[in-house]
Amino acid sequence: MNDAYFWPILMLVGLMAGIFTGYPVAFVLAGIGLIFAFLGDVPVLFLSLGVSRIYSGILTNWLLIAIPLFVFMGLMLERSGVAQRLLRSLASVFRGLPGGYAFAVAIIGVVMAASTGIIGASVVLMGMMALPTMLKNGYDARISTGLIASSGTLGILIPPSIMLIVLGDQMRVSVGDLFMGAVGPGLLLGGLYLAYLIFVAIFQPHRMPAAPAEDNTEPLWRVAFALIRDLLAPIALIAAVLGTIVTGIATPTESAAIGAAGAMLLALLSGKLSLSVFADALRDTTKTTAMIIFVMIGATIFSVIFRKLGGDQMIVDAFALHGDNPYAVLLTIMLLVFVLGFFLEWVEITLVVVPIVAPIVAGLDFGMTPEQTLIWFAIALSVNLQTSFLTPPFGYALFYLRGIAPEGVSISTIYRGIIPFVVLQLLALTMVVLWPQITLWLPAYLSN
Amino acid sequence: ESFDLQSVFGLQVPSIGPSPMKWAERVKLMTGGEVEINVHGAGDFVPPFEVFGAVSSGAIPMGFDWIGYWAETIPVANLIGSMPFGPSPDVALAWMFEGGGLEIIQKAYDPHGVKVIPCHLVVPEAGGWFNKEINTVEDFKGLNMRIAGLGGKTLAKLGANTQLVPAGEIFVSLETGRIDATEFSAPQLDLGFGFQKVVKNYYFPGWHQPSSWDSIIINMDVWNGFSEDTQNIMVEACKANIAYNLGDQLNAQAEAIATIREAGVNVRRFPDEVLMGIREQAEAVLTEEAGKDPIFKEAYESLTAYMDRVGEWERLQAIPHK
Amino acid sequence: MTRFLDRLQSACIWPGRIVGWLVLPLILSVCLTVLAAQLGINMLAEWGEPAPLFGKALTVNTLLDLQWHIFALIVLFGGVYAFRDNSHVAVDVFSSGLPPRVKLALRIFGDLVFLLPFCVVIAWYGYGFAEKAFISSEGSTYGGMIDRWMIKAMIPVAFALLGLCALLRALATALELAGASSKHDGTAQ
Ligand code: NA
Ligand code: NA
Repeated sequence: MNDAYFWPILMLVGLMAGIFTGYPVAFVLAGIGLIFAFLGDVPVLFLSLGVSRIYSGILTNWLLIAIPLFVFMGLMLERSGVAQRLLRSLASVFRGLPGGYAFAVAIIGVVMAASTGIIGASVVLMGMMALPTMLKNGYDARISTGLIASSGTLGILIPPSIMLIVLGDQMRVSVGDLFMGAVGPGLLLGGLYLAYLIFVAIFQPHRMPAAPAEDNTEPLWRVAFALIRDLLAPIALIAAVLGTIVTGIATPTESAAIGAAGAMLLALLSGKLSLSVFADALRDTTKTTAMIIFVMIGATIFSVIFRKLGGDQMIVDAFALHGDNPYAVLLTIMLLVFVLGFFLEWVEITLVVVPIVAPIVAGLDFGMTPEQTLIWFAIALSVNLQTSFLTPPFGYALFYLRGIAPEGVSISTIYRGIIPFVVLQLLALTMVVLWPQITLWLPAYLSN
Repeated sequence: ESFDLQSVFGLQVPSIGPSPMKWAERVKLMTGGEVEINVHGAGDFVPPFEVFGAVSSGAIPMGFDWIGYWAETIPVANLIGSMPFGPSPDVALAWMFEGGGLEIIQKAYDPHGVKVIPCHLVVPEAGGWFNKEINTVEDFKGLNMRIAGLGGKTLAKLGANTQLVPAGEIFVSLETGRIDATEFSAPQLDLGFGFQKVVKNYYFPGWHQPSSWDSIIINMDVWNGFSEDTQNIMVEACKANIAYNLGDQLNAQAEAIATIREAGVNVRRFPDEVLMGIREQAEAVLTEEAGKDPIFKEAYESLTAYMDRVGEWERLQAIPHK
Repeated sequence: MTRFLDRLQSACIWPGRIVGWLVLPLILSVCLTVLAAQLGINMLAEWGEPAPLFGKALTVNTLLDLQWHIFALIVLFGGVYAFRDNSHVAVDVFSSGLPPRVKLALRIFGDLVFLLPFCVVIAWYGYGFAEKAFISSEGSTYGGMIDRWMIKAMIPVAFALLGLCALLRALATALELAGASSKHDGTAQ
């Protein structure tokens, strides 16, 4: 092994150890960074860069204002009972069936994904809305948490998506094409989750028991009517969020405020919004936003010192690829991104890896135009990066879910619950790689 | 001896990306391998807007920038970064190194402990992407446009709603019509953003930035630690860099414009009376800014006097167009 | 003593309890930005005397600046609040099975070794960072908010509060640990 890798590897080991003490991840990231700055003899003045990174990279990043807005929107939907009602009536459509609630959650996951572009907020919202009910109804905690974490992560793939915006910027391909290209794979993933749920419902019905009998007495027409009624408010909200983006009234970030205002209006109309409920929601918005952003703050401190001690060179060397079979090169890249995804955040991977591999991939011959190749590669990469939210030990979706899960749901339950869904994501990734048409048909169809 | 340098650009960005690496190679070659500079891309140590502060404090010894980035801290940077109806590249070059420009600018950098070496002369930008035609200055009224700096202030005077959309959202915003127009850079860079897919009109000239400077900035203590020879080598390496990059940029623009035209975009010029109307507002903006900062004022007066003086040479030499 | 430490910690989080209300002006200001874009106006209001933070006019770019200013306040002071309420994400796979005393000791270790130095570094350099912005009177150059030093100064303030909280909690935990062990010694005799 190369001597130059001594500090970066030791740093990763130290990070693992620190995380497992059970101390908050954000502070372990920053703390380990500083400890190694000291051990690795980094000039003290270099640490001042931490402040610059926090201020310019995070606090002034206007795109991130969408996070408190989406969190607040989620809380309003939850406190007003709008979301629960939708969930309940969706679930009662599948009444009498094992897994009814789970189907409802997967469907809502796709719908939510189409209205938000960031991951934290949708996992948190789904977790607060659905998890307590699923557990109360006797659902297996592993499948419940796995489903919520993974369907909540769909938001980063299905447009609008901050990740696709950053990727488009890095790879210099049209963000519009990426948005369109991601629709097929996003729906594919949603479909795979549903297929898996059906499989579990048939072969292991005890893990997802049917709703109790008294809920099953209403005639079907009334259930259908209730569903339509309960769908109206959320659909109006999604229409407002997506509609203002599509018609050019708002940017994706601005649309978050429209959603927040709309959700507040719904909550007011529901009559459940007392001043104390409202004040509570505002306080929770503060804490949840801070929880999400502080992980980014910790990571930015860790990564600058990781770089200073040669960590980026280690990653670059790992990509010193060779071989003339284009698929072998692609496989190596995907494998490395998958492995990096265990430890790093998608932003880090995108910023470090993409500039190195994009030119390599653009030069390979997969029987497509260079532009098609890049769009297809970017989407495959996004599916892969999406997995990084779910893979332990650093799966941000898992952290967020743990942050709001009821007492008694430990992180190890969540770690185990996520396994089948990660397998499904790898399956989706394989399909996206093998059949580029899954990605390319919609952009091609729309441009004609 | 080796030093870290961080650029405000990604190293893979065409032209401005590799520029500091080419400078570092030259310095290494000319010092016989004695001074080695490790070039890092945007965000490696600090986000782009923090490079100046980091060099100033000494946390990073060197940086590579677009001078206009530092306008919030050094007002004159706004003028050097992009001066509406400012000098063409050759006049900018003459003023900077032979006409006393560099001495004036360095005065603004001194209080921050930073040495500035202009190192990459940027050719004129495009006038911008517009989803409707611009026939009179009235057409700017109510136009939602992404344009920064003094050019933005100028158009605001004409009633445009000028705003800073982050780079990542420009494309979507144009595509959906949330903004009606944007300027970004020269054709070579604009091409990469894919604006040609969603906007029909690509206007010239880049009145808001007929030329611009990128520079190497070095912490003053680090600079003073170099021998006089090394200091001279660094300046000469920048001059070589400027010559190389001017040729390279011109070469790339023609190609980029051809590609943009092939995508079905109308490549056109603003009518002359529109340009005269903008110019009037631009001069008002520049005079206002000059009133706020003495070094800005000194540089503005020196540069306009210089443009007037060499202007005669250009007029004498002008050959009618074919 | 423990109650006194608790009360001090509660004092540290009061800014965090207030900043949540800023979500409302945040929503309002984004909606205003969208409206202004629809109407094609940039200047919303103008007045004679320069006001702190806002300068002499309210433009669309002022609103954009205001939005991230609010975001920054929510993150910084919300972070202190979330710390007091144990809302920051942690991985409890291994630690959940440990004996309570070891868990308390690990918490002191984390507070003093991971968090405190981090807060000290950021508060220290954050002070210089804000001071520099003050001296060069850094502000928007595109008609947005002026007085960048004010928002920059919130970084050292928030991290000083966070560090203070960490120190107080480490003290309280140490007292708890000492109390528990003396009781433990007592029953063993
Ligand atoms: Na989405
Ligand atoms: Na992961």
